[in-house]
Amino acid sequence: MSASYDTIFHLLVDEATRLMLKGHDRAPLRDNLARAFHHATMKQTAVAFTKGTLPPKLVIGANNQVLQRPLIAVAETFVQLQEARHAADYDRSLRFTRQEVLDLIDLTEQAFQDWKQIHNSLQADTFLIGLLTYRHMQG
Amino acid sequence: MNTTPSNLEGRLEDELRKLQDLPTPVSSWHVKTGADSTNDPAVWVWAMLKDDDVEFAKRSRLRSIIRDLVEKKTNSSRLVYIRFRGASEVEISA
Repeated sequence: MSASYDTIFHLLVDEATRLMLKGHDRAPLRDNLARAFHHATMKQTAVAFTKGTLPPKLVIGANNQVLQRPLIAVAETFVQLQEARHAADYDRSLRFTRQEVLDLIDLTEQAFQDWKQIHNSLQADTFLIGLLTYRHMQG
Repeated sequence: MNTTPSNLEGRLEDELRKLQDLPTPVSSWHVKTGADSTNDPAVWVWAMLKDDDVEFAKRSRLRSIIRDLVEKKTNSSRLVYIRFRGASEVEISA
């Protein structure tokens, strides 16, 4: 469970830091920047994208278009996996069955395919920026 | 709709049982409400599938149907977490 969440967490953080700091010589800076991402803030951003309730300062990145379905799917999967990871790690009364785990793995794989479709789009870049800055973008 | 947690759980299970023509048959439903890991109000739905190894496309369509129904019945006031269990795993969830 943790592996699935970690996989999508690191995909998004890696994409976001590469968007903000390009170039091989910026790798150490990207590593530092990666530590600034908070799970709770990333979840807030993902929820906002699933519900279409973007903060005004992020709305401009939606380019006045309906949010792309693959982007919403990635955001939904991130929220699902984060909660499942938390439950698996901290709720000892809860047991995940084999089918539940396989379903979440399938979701993770689908999220990677969805991300490939929207990678580098304005909306995807807005999502990545929001993962880091959501709280400062409200209002 | 009365939205006290226990009442909401029962009402949602009733509504889910009414769903017809699902992409894959569901033998039973289990709904739990509460606060999630970041204290957001949430609903967890476990769908006990009648078959094991249901293909992903069917699970995806079922997931959308469940999410749409729960969001409609809760006015999108809660996050929805959906889990699928297979036919052979139903007893585990009891």
